[in-house]
Amino acid sequence: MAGPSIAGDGAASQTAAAAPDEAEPDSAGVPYQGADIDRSYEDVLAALPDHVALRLRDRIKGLEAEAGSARATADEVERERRADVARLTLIIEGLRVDLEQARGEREPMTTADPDPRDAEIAALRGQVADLQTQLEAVAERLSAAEAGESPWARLLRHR
Amino acid sequence: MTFRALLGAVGVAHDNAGFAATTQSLIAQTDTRWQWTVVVAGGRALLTELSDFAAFEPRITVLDGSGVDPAEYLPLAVRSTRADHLCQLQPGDGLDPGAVAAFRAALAVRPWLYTDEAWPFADGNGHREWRKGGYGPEMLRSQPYAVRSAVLPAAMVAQLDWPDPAAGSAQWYDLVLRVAERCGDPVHLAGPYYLRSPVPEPPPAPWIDGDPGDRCAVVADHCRRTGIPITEVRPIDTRGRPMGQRVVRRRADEPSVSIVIPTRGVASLVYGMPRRHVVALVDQLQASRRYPDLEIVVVYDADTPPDVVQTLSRPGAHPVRLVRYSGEFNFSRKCNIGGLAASGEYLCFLNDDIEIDTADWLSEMVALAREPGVGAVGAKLLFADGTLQHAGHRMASGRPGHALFRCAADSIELGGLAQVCGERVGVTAACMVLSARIFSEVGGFWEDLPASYNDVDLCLKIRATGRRIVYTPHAVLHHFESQSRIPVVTIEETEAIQRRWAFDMLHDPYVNPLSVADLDPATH
Repeated sequence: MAGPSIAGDGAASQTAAAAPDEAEPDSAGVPYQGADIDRSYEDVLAALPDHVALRLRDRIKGLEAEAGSARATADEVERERRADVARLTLIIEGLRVDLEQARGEREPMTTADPDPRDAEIAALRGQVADLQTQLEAVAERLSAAEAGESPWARLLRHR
Repeated sequence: MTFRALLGAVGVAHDNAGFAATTQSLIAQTDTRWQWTVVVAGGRALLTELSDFAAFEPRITVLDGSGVDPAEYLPLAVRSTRADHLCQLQPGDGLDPGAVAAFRAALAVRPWLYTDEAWPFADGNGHREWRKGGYGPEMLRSQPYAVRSAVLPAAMVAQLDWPDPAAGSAQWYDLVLRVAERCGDPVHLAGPYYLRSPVPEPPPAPWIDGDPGDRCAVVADHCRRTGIPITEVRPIDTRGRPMGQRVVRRRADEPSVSIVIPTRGVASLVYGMPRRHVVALVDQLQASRRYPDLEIVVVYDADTPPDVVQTLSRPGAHPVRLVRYSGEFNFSRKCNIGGLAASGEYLCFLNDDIEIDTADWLSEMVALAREPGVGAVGAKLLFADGTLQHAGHRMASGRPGHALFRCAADSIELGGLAQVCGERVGVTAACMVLSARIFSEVGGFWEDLPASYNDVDLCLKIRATGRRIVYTPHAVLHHFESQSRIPVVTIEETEAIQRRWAFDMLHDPYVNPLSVADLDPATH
């Protein structure tokens, strides 16, 4: 699908994120003057020699592109991570059902002989435990990302 | 409660061939919310036969087409359908079993969609595929690639002034164009969800439906509705096969153009004869008076032979501005210097080792560049041996390359991509037209890329502003770049372009996602 590029979307969302501040004074009580800042930025560029202004515009577009690209990649990673969590959760639920079923079949038995299904149950328990660990790790990364602490978030912050 | 389907398919039956196969493909759908309405155009006996056949399935409606004008068959079926979305499904054609379910998910994102197509061999041994690229309005004007498999919003169709009696066999193309005008970009659902009726030997894509005259008429009508000034729309045939159509834009009030040629004044052998490239090119430009308001800006290196500079400064039909460049090799910087020295409303960056084949190449490119929403336009470039050097950029696994590189000039691969106008992720700066305003707005060429990828970066910057990059095969030029030349790309250039555009270089919207693995990053 050929809509506007992700970099463009990223730049747009950055602008949108700044919008709520426009109506409110900052902590010093000075109203936000985004429009004036934008105009002066254009004025500054217009006052520069053409070739310098051209290079500066290129740098600005380049930084916007880097930010947009990083943001789009981070979004994609997050989507994949959420899909991983959903998939692992589903597998764990399935294994739990298998485990319960195996337990249910095991309990009525009164024989003292070792049941061959004990090994199966132990293996299933092991798988559940492994997946639970993986799930917790992914969930932890997800929460960290949501709290703005993902590597991508850090990358964006330090850019 | 009245049943309302998600997907209402419509078709016309002239005989009983394929009716059962289509029915089976619908019954096999994992999402059961479909409906198929068929107008029978084959007489009373056929109507009875198909009605009896469909009696077991309430989702199939058979309508009597006797006494109905053939132009009214599909509209009659559309009016009789109670569904949220419409698609064309002729008897014999089929849908992948997961099609309706996939349509439902995609239609939650955009109001209309199109899919890839497959055409099976009648003996059951495989099929040919038409893997399409992402949507572009210029591409849809040039080729009905998003038509046969289009799924359209029924509510929107009901509001349209459709059918147009003049549309003839291109009725559905007309409908898709009208929906696109109102709804904008569709979802491209990658994968052959639409299967054409099997034949013994299906041809390679593209598969163009409808009479050429009818197609041209509906595209001309679309241009009138959308304000595109045209003189005519004419069909394009390549290797005896229909590829689509060419929209010839009207030449009026053509803006001033500056052709910027960076050069070192070198010569090489072309067809066994020595050719001083920049002199030959400027001579060719000066000899042509096809473009009225033209300026030639030559940015030459300090070590350019003095006789070359002297020859270039001869007066001619068009003014020549000579700009001396000192410093180490940097194609981007030379282009920027030329762009800033130019006075034209539009800029055309042109390599010096170029020979122009199409007389009206510049008018064609400028007309496209003036179209609202278009940021830059590229041409069809051929090597000296006539093979394709450039038909637009394509990204493969994060690396840019030229589409159909070294294929025959009349190649119909990739659905005839090289033969029709269409959107691309980028075009080469060896011949690129864009407005001086856009050039300045995005900061020109990135000078940290002295040799490679500077055009890729420029086009991506333009695309990031929401504008489209368009390729036209109706401006043909020879580019005497050595075919055996191994492009030297420095690590710094690769790292720089990937730092800026890592995501976009992995997501070329005009490359079919299923084909990415097939593309050779070196030559695609």
